Amino acid sequence: MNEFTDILTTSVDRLFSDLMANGMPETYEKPVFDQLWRAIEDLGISNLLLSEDNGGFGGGWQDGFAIFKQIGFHAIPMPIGETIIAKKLLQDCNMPIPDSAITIGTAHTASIQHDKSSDQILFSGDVPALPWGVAAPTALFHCKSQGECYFALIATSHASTSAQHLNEANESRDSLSFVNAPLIDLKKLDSSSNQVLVAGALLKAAQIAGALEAALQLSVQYVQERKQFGRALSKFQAIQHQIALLAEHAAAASCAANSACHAYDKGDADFEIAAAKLRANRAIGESTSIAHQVHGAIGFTQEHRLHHFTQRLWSWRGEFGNDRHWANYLGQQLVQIGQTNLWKELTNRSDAR
Amino acid sequence: MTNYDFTPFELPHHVRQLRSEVRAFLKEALVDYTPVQRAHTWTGFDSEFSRKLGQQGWIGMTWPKKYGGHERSTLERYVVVEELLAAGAPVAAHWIADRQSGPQILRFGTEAARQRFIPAVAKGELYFCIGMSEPNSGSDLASISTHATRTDGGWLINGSKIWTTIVQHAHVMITLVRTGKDENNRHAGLSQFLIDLNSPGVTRNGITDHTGEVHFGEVFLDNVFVSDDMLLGQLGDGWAQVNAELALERSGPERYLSSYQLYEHFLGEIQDEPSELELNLAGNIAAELWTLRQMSLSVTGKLATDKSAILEATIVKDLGACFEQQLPHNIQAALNTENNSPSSQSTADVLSYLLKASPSFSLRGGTREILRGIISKGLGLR
Repeated sequence: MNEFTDILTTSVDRLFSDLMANGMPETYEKPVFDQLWRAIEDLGISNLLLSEDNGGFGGGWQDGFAIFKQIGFHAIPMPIGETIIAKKLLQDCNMPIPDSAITIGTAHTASIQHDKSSDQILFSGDVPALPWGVAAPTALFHCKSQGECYFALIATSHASTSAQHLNEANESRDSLSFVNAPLIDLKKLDSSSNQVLVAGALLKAAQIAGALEAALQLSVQYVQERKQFGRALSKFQAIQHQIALLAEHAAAASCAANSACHAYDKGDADFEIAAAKLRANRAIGESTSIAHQVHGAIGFTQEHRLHHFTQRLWSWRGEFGNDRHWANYLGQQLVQIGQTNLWKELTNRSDAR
Repeated sequence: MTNYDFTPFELPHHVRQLRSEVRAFLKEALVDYTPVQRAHTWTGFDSEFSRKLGQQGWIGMTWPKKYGGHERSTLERYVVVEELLAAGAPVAAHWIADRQSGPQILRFGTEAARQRFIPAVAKGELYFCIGMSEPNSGSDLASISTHATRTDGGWLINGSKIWTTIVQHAHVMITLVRTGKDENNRHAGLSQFLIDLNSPGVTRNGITDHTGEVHFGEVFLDNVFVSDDMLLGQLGDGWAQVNAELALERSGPERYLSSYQLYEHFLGEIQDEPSELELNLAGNIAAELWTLRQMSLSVTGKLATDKSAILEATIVKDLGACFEQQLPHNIQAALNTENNSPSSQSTADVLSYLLKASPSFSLRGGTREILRGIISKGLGLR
């Protein structure tokens, strides 16, 4: 970790601690959302990956990792990572970069028309599961229309209907439908790889690493405080070994997500990100089971903080590609690489070029 | 936030050249090796291969030239080691000497011991084994009873060691023995000696394991004389030295690659029209494999800058052992066994061998329970 990342981590840690000092805010309410977003914007975090010319810090995905993980570690209910990613993808595609919270997603159905009278590009279609899709003023989404792939940028207020949904942890996951809504911008893409999905998966993998670390920390603290049979739970070998396993999973998820960020800074990282999201997903079942088990009944209450992390973990496992999605993607890559080239490909992707 | 650190680490560009040299060498050296022989990886014993590897300068790579080493970097050694393991090369003869005993002697040994042993190890001609476990002392290593008593010009050693890998082939054993007793500290009074296994009073027997092969054995020490300069390190410092040695054992890339050959076979099996179930398993294994390699690289990066990585190495070893142990079971569950083509037969043979070998993966070099104890300690639970 370099000095910039260290300073960044420390200041974001402080900001996030302050934000959450009064409990978990209900950010699916627009006024609450807007108020919190101003506090986040004051630090300028959402411009982290923008170049200095675009008013950013010129950070890389590894700096992004530090923030993404903190979002998970503090269970921040805001689309900070989504906005950082959207701005970076918009910059890379030479699209306009709005100065607002930006949500990201993939359209299920899409039809794009050029309206000559107003010289506007109009979008019709459905975009499901948008993080804070109603509260965030802008959305960047990937869509396919007549065999071509696009990035589309739109004001969420143009949605003709919107359905507010919450995931297991009460985070907004809204579905928006548009009918001939004007786009802010549209960009035809050369690659068929959906980078909104890929970058979103990377964000979730890093958030999962952060939430696992929080669950680990809570578990370690709790078993040191709680006494039964005349001694702290931490003194029981059965408990020690369970928590060791939780730590192993947390370490694996974190190393995977961080390494994928490293690879993304060098270029195409679809393989690494798929592996990182899948590894992070696979850590969740056993880890949350252990964290809840060692906490006993208190960890099952609304009052205790543990569920802020475990419920997020269960939600994030399914978001931006579940295990089946990424395992199949990777499996197809592996079959293409083939038995005799596998080791060559693995090392070639990671040795410095 | 945590006591461990897995900062990503990238191997430098120049290792690409070394990699292709190792690959070209292995392609030729392993041309007659069967799939099951390759699946043995670091339990495969082949003196001729070890000698050839020594000639290439790929044993004792990081050691000083004056002892026959090659003064290359930790990172270059890592590349050679992972290439050997991924290819399933038979490294057992020199493995322990290269990984543990050589570095241990260079660090703690007398000048006489360095000159006597290190150059021959680097040539791939002198093999070591590690005398730690005893019939009544396994994971509880501090309870050993093999002991050394003072005699003219040296020590007389009595006792026995067991589960000692390659004891039947090795020339020298670094042996942990009791040289004193402290009622208040069971870790005190232990010392390490270099025992020539051809000395009078040494009896060794191989023990057949449940795969039908002999990889480890037992050794009896009956008044075995060891001269003073064969004491390794300081008298009474054995416990600390053994732990330093085990840290070397636990930090290498070998800790997740033991079943890797089977994964390659599996990919070959599913080449044509893979089912979703097969793709799914191939993908899940790839994610684990890739992650473990990143973790292993991260540990290597730390060690290369002389930082301690005991907790990290222990985490990688436990995760790696679980992964390589589970892999044959998962592949057996997913293989389409209706297809009886010749390629399937070799896959079936490799699978059969690894199913039987896999219980040892979480025993050797520290059991799963010992490793989780170390991790708990690192987390502040003990």
